[in-house]
Amino acid sequence: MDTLIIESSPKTPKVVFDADKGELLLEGRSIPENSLEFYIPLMEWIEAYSHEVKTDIVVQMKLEYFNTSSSKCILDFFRKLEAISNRGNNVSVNWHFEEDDEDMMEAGEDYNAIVGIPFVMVEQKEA
Amino acid sequence: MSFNLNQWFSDNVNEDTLFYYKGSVSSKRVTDILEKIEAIMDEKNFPLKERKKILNILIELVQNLYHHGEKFEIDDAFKSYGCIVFNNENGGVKIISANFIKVEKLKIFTDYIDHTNSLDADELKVLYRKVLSNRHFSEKGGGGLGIINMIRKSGNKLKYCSQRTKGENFFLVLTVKI
Repeated sequence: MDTLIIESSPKTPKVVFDADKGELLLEGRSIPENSLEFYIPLMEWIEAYSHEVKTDIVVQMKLEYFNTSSSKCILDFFRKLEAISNRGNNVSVNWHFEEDDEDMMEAGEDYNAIVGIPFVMVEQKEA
Repeated sequence: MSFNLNQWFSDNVNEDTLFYYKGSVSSKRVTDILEKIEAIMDEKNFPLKERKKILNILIELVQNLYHHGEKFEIDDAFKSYGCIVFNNENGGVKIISANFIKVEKLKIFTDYIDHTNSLDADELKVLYRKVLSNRHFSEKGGGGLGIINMIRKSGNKLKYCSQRTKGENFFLVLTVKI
């Protein structure tokens, strides 16, 4: 299955979904006015991938900001991963946040409380 | 006294104003406003933690104008009309956003703000998770998540006031202190 790569823009994150390695990365800002437009291709990729998972899946969430409309899309993304996990595959999420960014840490805790896959909270020290 | 947009603007823009905008709020304009305010915060050396909190709240407010701001009733050429004022205040900042809103939407919106303002931090967390996980909300509307987010992240009540305009709308002003 082809790796999904989308470069970042001022309002959308970088995406690298590597099926062979089981590594899914979202990095940057997710603040588009129309989040569905951005997330639909990601969901379609995950849907296709869900039928051919061969490795453990590790998600790297490295978001700097996300808006309300993205928050629902991100939850839908995690729900799809939860469904994969429920079929016996190992899925985990590394939720990265910058040092002292309590809001982003809380956002990770919110998803962790809602979705039945393990989250690891990764605090990034300032350079 | 009847509502006057220019008067409202001059009442709210003062020597503590770091940025202001009034006009049409297109997707590109949203980007421009966010970039300009980020540049101002960089220039003024706002601490990272504060800068992130402000930008998080600002994204909600500006995109709220983009999605919900009614046309400026004096001139139909404006779509999604809105105002943003970013002021220094007492060691923090105050963000004021304002837009025209139809009367039938006003009460629903302000009742929701009143309810959300009445909740403590733990109750806000519970409500946020409930709305995020249970409600089906559209691309345009966040089912109230934006309001919860702003109150939760700012740690302050969301203030509002409204004034009837000459036309069919109200002019709604939201104020967030951070």
